[in-house]
Amino acid sequence: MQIARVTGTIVATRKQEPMEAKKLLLVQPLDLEQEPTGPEFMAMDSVGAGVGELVLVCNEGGSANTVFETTRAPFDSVIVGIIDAIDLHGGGSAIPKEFAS
Amino acid sequence: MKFARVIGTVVATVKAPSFVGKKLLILQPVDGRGQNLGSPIVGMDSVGAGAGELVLYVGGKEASFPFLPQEVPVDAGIVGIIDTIDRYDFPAAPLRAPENESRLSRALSGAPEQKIPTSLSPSTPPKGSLSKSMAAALREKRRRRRKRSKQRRRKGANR
Repeated sequence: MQIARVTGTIVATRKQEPMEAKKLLLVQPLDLEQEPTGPEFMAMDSVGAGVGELVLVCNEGGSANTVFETTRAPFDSVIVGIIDAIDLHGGGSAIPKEFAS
Repeated sequence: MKFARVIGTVVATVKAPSFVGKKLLILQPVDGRGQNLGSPIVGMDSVGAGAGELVLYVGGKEASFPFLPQEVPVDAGIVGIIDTIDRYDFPAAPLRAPENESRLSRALSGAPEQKIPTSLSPSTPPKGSLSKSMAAALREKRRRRRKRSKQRRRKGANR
């Protein structure tokens, strides 16, 4: 699982049938300093995440299929949680930026 | 799932038997802004994507799932055609305050390690440091919770 921020929404009319009626979100993976790491990608929402939120993204097809209770559906990234806070032992900086002044 | 732009097609006469009747496209992976990422790859189409379109593709085992029950040996399977991407550009992150420096960077600079308490830190206070009013509030909360669960149990018994 990785930490990411939801940066946008995606509309796709023509798509594989198991993806229908699912929310498609654009996410930017972040490191613990909340700096972007790597390119943005698409993740499907399972928890009601919205734009601007810090989320947990699973990048495994197996877990995506578990979350949506499908078998062998062609998707891999799924948002499985909305992060409230990250506490780094030793006084790190990783509290979500919306909580920081 | 990642984004790519369709930049061409591939024709192969001699191929894996399961490839017969499938469309192979050349994909240029792009990021959320449409900027090219790395070198092009070949993907198999399952949604009727065409030249120049922005598509969604999956890699790994899932790449072959659109073609079930046939087991197709592909690295990238196109699973959707993107109509629009709505990006919300957030303002640049504010400059980090000194107390927000990471442990590693502090260690590297030779500064003594110390935890600077900030009022914004969401960590819970250590045991025994609850103020009197907080402790009273907690007790009250627990009492209400017990009451609620008792009521619920009673309701269940009535049914």
